[in-house]
Amino acid sequence: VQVIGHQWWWEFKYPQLGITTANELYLPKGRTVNFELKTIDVLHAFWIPQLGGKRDLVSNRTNYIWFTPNKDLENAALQGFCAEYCGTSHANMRFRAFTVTPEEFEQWAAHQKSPGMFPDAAAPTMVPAVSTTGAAPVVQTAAATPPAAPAAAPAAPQAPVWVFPRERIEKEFPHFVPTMPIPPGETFDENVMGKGDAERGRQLFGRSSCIGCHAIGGVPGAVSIVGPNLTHVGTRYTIAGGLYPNDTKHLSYWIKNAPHLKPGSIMPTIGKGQYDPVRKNTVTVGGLTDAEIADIVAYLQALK
Amino acid sequence: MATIAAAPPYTEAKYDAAHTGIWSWLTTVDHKRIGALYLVSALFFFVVGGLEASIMRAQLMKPNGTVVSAEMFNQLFTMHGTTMVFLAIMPMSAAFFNFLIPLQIGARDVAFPRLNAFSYWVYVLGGIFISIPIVFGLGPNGGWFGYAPLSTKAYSPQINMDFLGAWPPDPGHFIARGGVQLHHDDHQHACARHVAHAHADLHVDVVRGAVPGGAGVPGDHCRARVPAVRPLLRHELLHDRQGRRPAAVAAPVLGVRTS
Repeated sequence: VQVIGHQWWWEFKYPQLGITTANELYLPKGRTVNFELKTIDVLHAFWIPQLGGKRDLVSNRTNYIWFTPNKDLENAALQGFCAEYCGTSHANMRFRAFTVTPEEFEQWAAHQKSPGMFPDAAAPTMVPAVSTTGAAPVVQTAAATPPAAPAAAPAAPQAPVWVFPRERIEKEFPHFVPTMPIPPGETFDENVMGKGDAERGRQLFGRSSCIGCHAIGGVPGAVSIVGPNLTHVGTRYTIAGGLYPNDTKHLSYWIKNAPHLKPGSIMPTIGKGQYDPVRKNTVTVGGLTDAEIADIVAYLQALK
Repeated sequence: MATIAAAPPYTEAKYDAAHTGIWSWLTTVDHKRIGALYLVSALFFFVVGGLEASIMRAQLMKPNGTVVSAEMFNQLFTMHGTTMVFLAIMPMSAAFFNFLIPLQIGARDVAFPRLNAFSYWVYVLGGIFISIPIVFGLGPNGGWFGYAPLSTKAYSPQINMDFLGAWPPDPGHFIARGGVQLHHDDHQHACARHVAHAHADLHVDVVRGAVPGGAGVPGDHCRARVPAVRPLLRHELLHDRQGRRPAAVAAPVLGVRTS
């Protein structure tokens, strides 16, 4: 796994599987994982206390650390940390590691390596996600999936979503649930929250500033690597470097004014008329209204 | 019958007006007084560092604490580390070796009393300089270790880290310089009095070991270990040319000569 430290979030790449994700690691039990540690900016350190030691991510250098999650372990959700002071939100640079069985890992990986699946014929025009080698078993699910897609059909059947069950996290790993409250003074129009339209959100994503930093697999133009890859953002448990749970409320507030929720955040304030405490200006042109943000939230949540 | 001459009556050392009061402390070049000043200043900064630590503990008393902002918290731990290492612990050791080593080796004072006083004042003024910005939320925030690249302009564009960088009187250097002169002093005396290196106490060895260029080489005691510094150390500004007891000299602190 390639680990790339950013101020202040983690990028994880599984080069053998062609997966890019952020702040969440899935590790098959009983298999040795080698982490290739790099940083895009300042020094960070990669640490999952329950699995092994920590090691620094050093600028212009690649470090390695490897360990094998014990085969006999229960499936577990583990906390990961940045353990080298890296700036304002160093304490908010967390990640989650899930140890799962090899079969579950295969399921997860099969889904994660497919392009962002959105019910829109125009979007996924990339190569079929399921590799022909059969490494990833495809399990048919919804009736919407075209049965036995002919060679000409661009839309590949997507592997079913498998993620570490949220109920288990909340029941068995209560400490794992982010508890950071939304700072006082933040508002979001309750009438539109959670009522956005994903299709409008998709179009908005493409013509607002989002696309400047975030990549979404299968969406032409969304290829930037500044921010976390959002291809399967809807499947993640947390946002903002593990600071907030990935739900409608937090996602809405987060997009509206990220630097207010996470000190120093490089993601700018998007909400129209909002004050950006990092760039010290008020967003006017290019800012989005609450209704528009609700659309984007709907779109991101649909990206599974 | 043999008479034994009566011993002269014991008299306390007398201090005249010039040797008491605030001014005498501000201008002193006496190693014991400077040692005491180091001790008091170090204790003062120890309290400052303790206050910074207390604020941090208050923030951490509960999860998601809001006593201070994230930015201020980073300044607090940066300044806590800086204060405790450079403004409390190191000067604390300087207090002891200033006070004790001349006594241990039987010297009147350190070799360069004015330089000694200069070191102390640079430390105090530097300590005040570096402690003030945090009051205005502009304190250094890159960690007291200041690792690059986080501490560089690219990742710390604000003025905060500049205070740490523009802290010319890094007290570590000056305390170390104080140590160099002690080392010099120690050797001069050892040679002059034809005493063995071993005569000097363990404490002296410890301090010498802690000072750059100060590692003693047996058999080489009478040569200065830091030739480049010698002309500077020989400069008359640093010496009391009249050969008076150093304590009797009004200190030309910060280079103002009186004679």
